[in-house]
Amino acid sequence: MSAAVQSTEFIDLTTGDWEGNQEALLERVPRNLTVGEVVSAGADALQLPFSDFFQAVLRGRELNHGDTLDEAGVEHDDKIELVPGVSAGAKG
Amino acid sequence: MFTIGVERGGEPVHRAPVSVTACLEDALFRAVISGQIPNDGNIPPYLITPVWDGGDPPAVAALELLLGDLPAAHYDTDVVAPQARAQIQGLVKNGILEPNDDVHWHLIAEEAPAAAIEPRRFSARVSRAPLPLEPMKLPGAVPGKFSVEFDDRVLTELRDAVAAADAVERAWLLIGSICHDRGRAAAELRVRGVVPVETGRGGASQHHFAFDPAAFVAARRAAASTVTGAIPVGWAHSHPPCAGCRTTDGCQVDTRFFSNDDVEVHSSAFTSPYTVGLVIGKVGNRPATQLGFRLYGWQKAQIRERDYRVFDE
Repeated sequence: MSAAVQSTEFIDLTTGDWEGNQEALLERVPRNLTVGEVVSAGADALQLPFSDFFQAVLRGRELNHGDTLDEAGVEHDDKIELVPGVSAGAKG
Repeated sequence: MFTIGVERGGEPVHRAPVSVTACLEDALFRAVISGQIPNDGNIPPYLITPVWDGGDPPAVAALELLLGDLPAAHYDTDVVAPQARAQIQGLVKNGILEPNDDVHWHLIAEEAPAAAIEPRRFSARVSRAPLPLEPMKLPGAVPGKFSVEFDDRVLTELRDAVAAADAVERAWLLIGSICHDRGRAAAELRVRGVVPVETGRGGASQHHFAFDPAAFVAARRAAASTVTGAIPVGWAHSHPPCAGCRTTDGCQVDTRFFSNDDVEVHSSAFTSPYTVGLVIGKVGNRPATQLGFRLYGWQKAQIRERDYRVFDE
């Protein structure tokens, strides 16, 4: 496999909590990984509580957990923000 | 590693890892405010260990945090209660538990089994921003204290917006700044504005408000341009008066409280130890048209009601 081909199979990307306190630089992430797997790895690296809740937001757009990074349009050096999907309420 | 064990009728039904980073965030914040560690985003070496109750078998009675050379800090096991509740709700949702089951949870401390530690498929390097503190003299501040102040105009704006929204919950980001007087080892959160948060796919009703993940990010960006230099410092949401409040003059229901769902929102979305959550609702002994406030925030890694002052610029 040539180096050129190999370089397109992996990307570096950053995941950060939406408050902007922490970031995790993920290096050599396979493009065929799903968004859900990256969210899980990012939440794990940042030690976020309620890690099951988190959604991925890229350039203001919420990503589908089942899509691969390629399918979701995630590019090299992109930053994915991890945001909890939650509901407030007087009943719960 | 720490896990939550869920039992039904004394029989274990579920076990899952739990995060105790709220303890670390609390200790870091207090250490930076008091000037014991620099505000450079670096975390001194730390260790969180269980404090055993001495029973047989032993159970976790508390958590002890050692941060750098600082004295040990102790935390109640209830710091993980919101995560335990969320896990139990998930088990009910998935049919593993029934809504009326006799369920208990407890915190478990154990060595991580080698098989549980999966090697990452790629490397991860974590970096952390310094706390967003604005150096300032706070002549009236009590040394060692972290206080909260609201601009009166913010409370008026929220009260008017909630009155106009009638019986549907609404939510906002609170924006402001954290003033730090290192000499007095004190800090003050000043809430100076609000940014509305759009409802998510789950919608909003009299009893709930669903946050859209992208709306959090959009509101944060809007906040940056609303008040110069301000950052998101928390959130506000309304609990509309109940049906009885509207039809019965003497209805004593007070809707200013943090529900379990609200604790979950704050614990997952507002993890910074300086963030606060404001509830706007009916005051128990007043008519439904006279709305009031209650404020909640982090204290020793748990979310509790806290006091605040109002300033008028």
